[in-house]
Amino acid sequence: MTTTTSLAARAVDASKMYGSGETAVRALDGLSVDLAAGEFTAIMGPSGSGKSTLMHCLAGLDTLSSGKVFLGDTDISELSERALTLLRRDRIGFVFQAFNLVPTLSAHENIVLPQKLGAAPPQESWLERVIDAVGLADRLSHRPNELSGGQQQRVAVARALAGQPEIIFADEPTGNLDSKTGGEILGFMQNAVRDLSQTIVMVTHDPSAAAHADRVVFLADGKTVEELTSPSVDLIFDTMRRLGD
Amino acid sequence: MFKLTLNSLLARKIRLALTTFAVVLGVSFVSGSFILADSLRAVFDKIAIEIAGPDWLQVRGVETIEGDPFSRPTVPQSVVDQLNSTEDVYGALGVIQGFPRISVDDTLIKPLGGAPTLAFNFEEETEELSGFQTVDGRAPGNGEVMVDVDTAEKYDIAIGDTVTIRSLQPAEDFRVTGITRWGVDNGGGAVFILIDTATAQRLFNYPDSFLAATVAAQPGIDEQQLADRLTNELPSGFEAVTSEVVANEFSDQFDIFITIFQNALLVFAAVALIVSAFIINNTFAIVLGQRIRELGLLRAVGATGRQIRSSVLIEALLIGVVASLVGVFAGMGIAWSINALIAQAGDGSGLPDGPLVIAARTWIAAAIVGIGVTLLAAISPARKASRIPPIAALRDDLSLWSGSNRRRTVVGLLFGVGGLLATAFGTTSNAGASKQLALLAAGALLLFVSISLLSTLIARPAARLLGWPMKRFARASGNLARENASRNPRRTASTASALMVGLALVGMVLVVGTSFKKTFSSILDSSLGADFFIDTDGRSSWGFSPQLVEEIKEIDGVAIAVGFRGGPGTAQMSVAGASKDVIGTQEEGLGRVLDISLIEGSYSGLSNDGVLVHEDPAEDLALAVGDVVSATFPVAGTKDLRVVGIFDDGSILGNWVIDMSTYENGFDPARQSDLFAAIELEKGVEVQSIRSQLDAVAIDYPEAILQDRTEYQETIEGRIDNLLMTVNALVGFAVVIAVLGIVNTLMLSVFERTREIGLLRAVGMTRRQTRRMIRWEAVIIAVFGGVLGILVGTLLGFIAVQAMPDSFITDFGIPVGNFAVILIMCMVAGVLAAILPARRAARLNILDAIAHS
Repeated sequence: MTTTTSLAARAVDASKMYGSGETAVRALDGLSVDLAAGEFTAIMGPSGSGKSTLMHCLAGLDTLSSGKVFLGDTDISELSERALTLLRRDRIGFVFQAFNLVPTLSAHENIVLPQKLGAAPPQESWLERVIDAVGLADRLSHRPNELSGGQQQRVAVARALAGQPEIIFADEPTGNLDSKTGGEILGFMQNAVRDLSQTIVMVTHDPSAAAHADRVVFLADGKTVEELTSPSVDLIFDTMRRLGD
Repeated sequence: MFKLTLNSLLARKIRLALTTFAVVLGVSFVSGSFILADSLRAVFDKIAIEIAGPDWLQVRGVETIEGDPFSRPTVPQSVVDQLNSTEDVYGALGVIQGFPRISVDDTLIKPLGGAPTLAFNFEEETEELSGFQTVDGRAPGNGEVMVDVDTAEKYDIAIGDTVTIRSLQPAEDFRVTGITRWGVDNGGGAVFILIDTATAQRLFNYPDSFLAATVAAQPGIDEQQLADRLTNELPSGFEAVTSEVVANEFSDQFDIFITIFQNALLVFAAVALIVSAFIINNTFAIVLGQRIRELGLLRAVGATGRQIRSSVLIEALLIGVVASLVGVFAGMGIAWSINALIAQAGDGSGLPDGPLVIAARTWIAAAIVGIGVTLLAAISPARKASRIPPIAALRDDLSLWSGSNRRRTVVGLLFGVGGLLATAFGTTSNAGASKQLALLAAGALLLFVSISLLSTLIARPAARLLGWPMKRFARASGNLARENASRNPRRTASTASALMVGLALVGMVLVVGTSFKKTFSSILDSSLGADFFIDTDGRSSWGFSPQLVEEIKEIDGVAIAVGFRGGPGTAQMSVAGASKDVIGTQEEGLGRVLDISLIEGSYSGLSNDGVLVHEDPAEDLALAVGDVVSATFPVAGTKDLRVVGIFDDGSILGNWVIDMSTYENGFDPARQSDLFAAIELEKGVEVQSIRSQLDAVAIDYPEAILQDRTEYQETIEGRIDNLLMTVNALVGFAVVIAVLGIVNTLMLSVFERTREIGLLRAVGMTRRQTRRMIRWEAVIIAVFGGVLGILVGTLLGFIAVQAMPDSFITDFGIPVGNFAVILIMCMVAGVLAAILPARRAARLNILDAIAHS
């Protein structure tokens, strides 16, 4: 993977405190990280390392106590609640661990939900490509409860891709799936980055999931402590073990 | 287990508050009705004692028609003289009570709502026995009058001013010589004047006689014994009673009206309660559905189904207890508001003032109703909850209400058929008004439950249909709202049904009102030929002076002027042992100003002791033209009347019509006011040109309203509209409760969909879009309820119109405009109901929401 690409998002000296006084918890502690466009980045770390907080702040779901977060060139730490909402709608895609879909909407309606909420309509050809890639063309009219867990996650990924966002955040996207289905989803995400030139940032604690990424950033105590490029599962395990000491 | 119940209650404060509030509203209406009625009773009991006067006996004629206090013969001067010379009698005073109309500077003096305007005879030397105290000035002589202190103050009347008194005689002016008061409370709202005895006898037609006599006993004489002795000694046909007896008689009379009033309010309270029950039931169902895993866990760790059920019922019990307590206090507010509402509607004349009375009965009724309704409404959710299997703790897909759709349909249809049968039977049977009404009420209730059950079946397509425009115009939020409204048909249907109940009654009332207007309009077209009508102002039941018609007859260009007296609630004669409403009028107007569709015979001969009979009673009593009917009148006693004609249309004059002369002789002076009059002009006389002359006469009779045909129709329709508005304002209470139910359901739905809303917000739904989504869902539910309500209301209205006698209503009309307004108001109600839940949804913390389970 070359590094000539521009940055999709970055955090600069990001700190996030929860609570105050004696009981204050510092989830992010002056963390800085750059996330290159066109890359599949995995963020790893033990529980409480701040990986979820980092993702939430990068995605405009949460705000920093100090420091800055940029999406492209936009300083999102300055944005209003409404502007953040529109930013998520127009420029960011999401895949959550579970409950990714609105149960009352069909798969297709779920895929184009951000666009229905007001984002620019997707290019037809792009949408077809995404749906094709997800492999759900024959299940588009089904409601989420008529889909398997893996199918639901694929719809979620398709939704994230449909608007061609600048960056997609995935929070443990395979956490609820068996390893085979999870592998399919990860492969699919990999393809999206490689073939569809998307940018994906994934939070996970699963080394085999992280191994699908181009780059793995390790967090501990609210700071970046290590990163690996195109790692193998074993290397990730080793790193984790080393960091755990 | 109890602690668990308490904890689960406290964990859901808002839902708890809303549910409790729904019960509180229902209970408050019930207790408010009782409080208002009890307070009125207390006030009127006091008034009754005052009217009866202190510790004196009353001597009066014995009723010639039992139960008709107006049928007492007058007391002649000779009886008063005899009383005065009786041993142990301190003094006796002949009393005249008249019903005058009094005006100051052409303004009619109006007593507080329902209270009468009275005139009494008064002499300086007998003031001691009269019960009146002179506040200022002196007793009236000929052409003079004393005015009661409250009226003098309210209408700014001073000694030396002139007031006009209209009675059965032409209007006369009197000079005010004094201000008086009556008892402690000054008659409690009644307007009254005092005039000298000779004038009173002349004005109110008591030649050398009195309505009754007041008798004071010598000190130390037992009143009851004196009363018994006097009754023995007096000529037959007269009796002496103690003031206690008189006060009780007054109380009983008042009580009849108060009870009717109270029962009417309780009907509305019942409606409010039914709606509350719907909401409680729905809330429990939703909440338990949401707690299904928690309840499953309880079962898994060893709670029995019975314990679960008890827990739910205890929860309901607690809500019921709290709501009943709060409801009684809210009921005081309701009682106060209704009082204010009536005061407003009666433009200034309200019910008499008095402290609010909370009787023990009110507390008991509130407790029974509040706790009972809550428990009843909680039974079916509690039973369902007790059947939750332990496995529910581990599974995500179990529902409290699965698989019962067929049963709902069957039960719903059974209830529906039962309801229709009950209403049909209620409208057609001759079981008596109260039984019929009970049947109708039960039928309507069954119908409501049936519709609520069955509407679940159509809730989904209905929500999709109603939500279609929203999908078009509100795009994503509209579409989601539509999906949300149709995803849980049972919930949408129950919530809408609560609204349906109130609106169905509003709809029924509007349908009946519209039909009545239509009926009136066709009567006016087909039966009323007159050019002008004279009517009372619609609030005073005392009519207007017969002098008005006499004066109008004198005007050039007037062909016929006819007054009408008596009718339902005013004048009854007794025929074949049964009392019959009767109207007095003149034969010259019948068939011309007013057509009652004569089938047989003619109008002529009416003035010669004739009577006109409707075909129904004529058939019942086997009467034909020429037959003689023996009728008993309160004053004239039994008289033979000859049937001169049999008629078909009883919608205007009822079933029995007699000549004015027969009426005048037959009834007491108090009932000699015209209630209605019709005027026909000579051919060629323009309505416009004679109007000013008529008005010049009518202006002296402020209690009467002269109107041409168009005005008359507008007035009647206006009165119907006013009545409809009052009824609907009371039913509106139930609608408010139903709207709270929508708030409740949406709050619960928002809570239930926390994760989903969080997801929507995460992928880019703005707060405004979130609010909009909730708002449109509320509008769909509200409009669904509105449509159901209008349909059921039209059905009930149709049944009601069929049930009413033809003499009252013949045509059927649907108030399309009103229904459109109702639907628009439903939309507004939906928007309002959504405010709180929408705000809550929009303010959810996205991260917490996504993490919510």
